[in-house]
Amino acid sequence: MPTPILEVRDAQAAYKVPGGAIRAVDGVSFDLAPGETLAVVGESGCGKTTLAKAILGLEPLTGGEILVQGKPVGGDLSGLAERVGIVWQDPYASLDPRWRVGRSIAEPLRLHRRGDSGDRVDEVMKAVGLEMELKGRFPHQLSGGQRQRVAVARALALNPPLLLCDEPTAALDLSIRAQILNLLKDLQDDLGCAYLYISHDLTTVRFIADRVAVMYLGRFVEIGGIEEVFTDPRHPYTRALLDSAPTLAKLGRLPDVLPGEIPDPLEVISGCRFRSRCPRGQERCDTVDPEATAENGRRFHCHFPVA
Amino acid sequence: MRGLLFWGSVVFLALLLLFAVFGPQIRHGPFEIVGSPYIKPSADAWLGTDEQGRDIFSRLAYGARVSLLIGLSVVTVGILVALIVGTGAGYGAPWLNTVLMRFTDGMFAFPDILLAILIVGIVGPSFWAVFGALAVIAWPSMARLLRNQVLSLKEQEFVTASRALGAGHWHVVFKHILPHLVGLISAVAMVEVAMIILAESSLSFLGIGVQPPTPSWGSMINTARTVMRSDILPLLWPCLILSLTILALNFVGDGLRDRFDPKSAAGG
Repeated sequence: MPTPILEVRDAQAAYKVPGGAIRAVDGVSFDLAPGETLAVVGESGCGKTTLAKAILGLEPLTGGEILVQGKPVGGDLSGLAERVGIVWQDPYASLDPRWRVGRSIAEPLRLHRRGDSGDRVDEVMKAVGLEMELKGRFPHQLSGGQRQRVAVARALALNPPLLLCDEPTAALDLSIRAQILNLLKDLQDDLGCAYLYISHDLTTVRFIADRVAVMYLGRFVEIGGIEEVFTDPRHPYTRALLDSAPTLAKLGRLPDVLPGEIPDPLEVISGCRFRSRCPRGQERCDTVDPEATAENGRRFHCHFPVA
Repeated sequence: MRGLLFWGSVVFLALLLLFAVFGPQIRHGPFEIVGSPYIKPSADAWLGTDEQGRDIFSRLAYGARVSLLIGLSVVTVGILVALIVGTGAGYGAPWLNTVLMRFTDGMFAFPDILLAILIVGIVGPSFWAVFGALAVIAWPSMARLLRNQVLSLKEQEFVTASRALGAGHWHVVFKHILPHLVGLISAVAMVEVAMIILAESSLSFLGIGVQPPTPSWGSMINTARTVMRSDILPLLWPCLILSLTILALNFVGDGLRDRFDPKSAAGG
């Protein structure tokens, strides 16, 4: 196995709030190989974005460590951007409305003093399929798809070996969604970069990812190959997520909704964190936090896994 | 209608500037006695003469020079202080925010013009005393406004995105935050200049502003007030020019706010 591009070891990140701390990321561990795509799925508020911010060094860890190309994240961030890029969810919000597109794409190059940024800007604009004449436009003068292409170009400008995608298609129309997904896939074939793809849209995840991690309340409850997890989920939460995803076959009837809400993240839960909503919960789940079970290259936390 | 008011006000302020620069030299100097007191407007003294027989036109022009000079310089200094305090409080560490903003709140405890009177009263009236006193009352409201703007800009995703690309704090402040404040600052500056000109006139009206024989609109209003029953014109001219100037500055401020909206500035 090649050296992983990203190693996350028992990462923990907590926000201080009045009345305690929200443990947004609470003991996450995984590796990501060069050129591989790992999708992270889960409900809103499960800690997906905090995990991405921690990898970028924008959110300090309260425990564990994150290594990018073997070097720990933290302290001086200036060099990290050359190793990790990010495509944000909403390109309209992540581009400075007063900056012309060409300047926005050139920003990382200027920040890292890459000489002659003009050529590189042309290069990445071409790579993401943007017309050169768009360089002089402002973000509000572009279509949603063009804006997201600009965001991708900007993330790729420094040619980072790892690209984080934080729900890159969530803010886009369905028709444009496919374009961006294909673009990301083509870019990966050409450049060989690894993706950490954060989403709650299981359909796009299945299209783009090699492996998938299911996150619940700050922890990966199940992680494994995309086909195995999607066809044969072991954790009851994964099962529930798959059941609630709308598909053509289920058109016309409401999806099976998971009962209850995500518990208040301020509370420290004894035992399994999913037990309040779990259909398979038993006495043991109330007291004992399930250890990771490893099984044919997949890992899950459950005392009574789905067969 | 809005466009008409804006451009009308811009033209008025441009003329006022020319008036302030060249007005005192056109016919008579502002300190020159050209005839008996209270001459009616004539071919020689266009707006008549004041209580000492000096040309009111020339003195108004010199007063405009004083008002604009004080207004612009005080607001420039006030904006610089407000930018440093507001950016420090809005972007800096929480403790810095607390220290700077509690100090700013403290400044609000004093009514503006009373604080200025107090300062001039202690230092003694002079150009620099008036300048300093007005600068002290000018910055707090702007600092609070800028701090709130910086605070909300700091949370914008494009700021986080720039940080993720490896940008340092200085880059973020100067390239992504302050440029967004240009429109607001120029709009607020106009309104603030109007407020300072009014405050300077108030101090001069009370006799603790710019000292005679240097003319100021405020002191001209004060002396003309005593003869308003017999001759209203010497009172009318400074009141008129003061009111129009304040109005024009406010209209231009409003117009600038609209014009600096990024979406219209981009021409899209």
